[in-house]
Amino acid sequence: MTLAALAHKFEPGKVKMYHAVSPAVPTQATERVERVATEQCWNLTIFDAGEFRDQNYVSNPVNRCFYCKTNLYETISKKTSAVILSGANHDDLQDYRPGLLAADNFSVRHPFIENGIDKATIRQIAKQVGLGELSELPASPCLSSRIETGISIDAKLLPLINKCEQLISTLIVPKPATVRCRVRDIGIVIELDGGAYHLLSEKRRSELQKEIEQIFGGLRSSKNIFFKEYRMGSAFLHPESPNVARA
Amino acid sequence: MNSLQIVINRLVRTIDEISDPAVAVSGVLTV
Repeated sequence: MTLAALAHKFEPGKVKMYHAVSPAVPTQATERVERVATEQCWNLTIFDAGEFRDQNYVSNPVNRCFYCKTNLYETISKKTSAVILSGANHDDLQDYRPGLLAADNFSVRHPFIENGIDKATIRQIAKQVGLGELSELPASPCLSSRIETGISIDAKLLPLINKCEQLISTLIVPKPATVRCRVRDIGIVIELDGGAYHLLSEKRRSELQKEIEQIFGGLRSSKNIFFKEYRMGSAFLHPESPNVARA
Repeated sequence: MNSLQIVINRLVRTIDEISDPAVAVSGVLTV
């Protein structure tokens, strides 16, 4: 969002924007893009990159993001001969980001990385380029990241995960800073930031479990709902993990 | 000129040097 807003502000009319819709992209993210694009008069194309037709992606290997980004950049490349820019930032280099390998295959440029810009600086830039309260948006990985590595991604499950997170955010007071609804082998795990997690009473947990059961209905794991303290990337197995087969 | 403005200027220069840029927009600020 920030890179697009900055590019448009300083190079109006020169830059094209591409946004992929997918079951893994929360509807509110697409609505956000459409709203800002309308407000700032972006040249925006919305499309389906088709990653859910790619079994490499759906099987949810440890390098799932490689297949997601390959589908994304391949589809954009078919629509334009322009140089593709991504919003990856310097902090991403500290983590395992197989999507960056896919970017290399399509000669994608990363202006934030090239200029050593981290997440905190992106928030400052976002304010400067008119994104207002969006500059305070918490970090938000795609919905497929909620599915434990190795469990196939069911596209029907992802909107329910999004709905569950949205509902819990409204039902817990004060509003939690972080809510993650993860699908694991053991069941559904609701992760809350430390403050919200430690304030949650047994009675309140039980009430929330009933709400969550209703959302997931007859789908897997609806009877096994747990609460845990949020840990960043906790559904994610790194490639060096002994239990992970490299894809 | 403050340090943020210097950073923004560098970014703008990077984008300006690309003759035909296309931005992949995710709809989030960071992941």
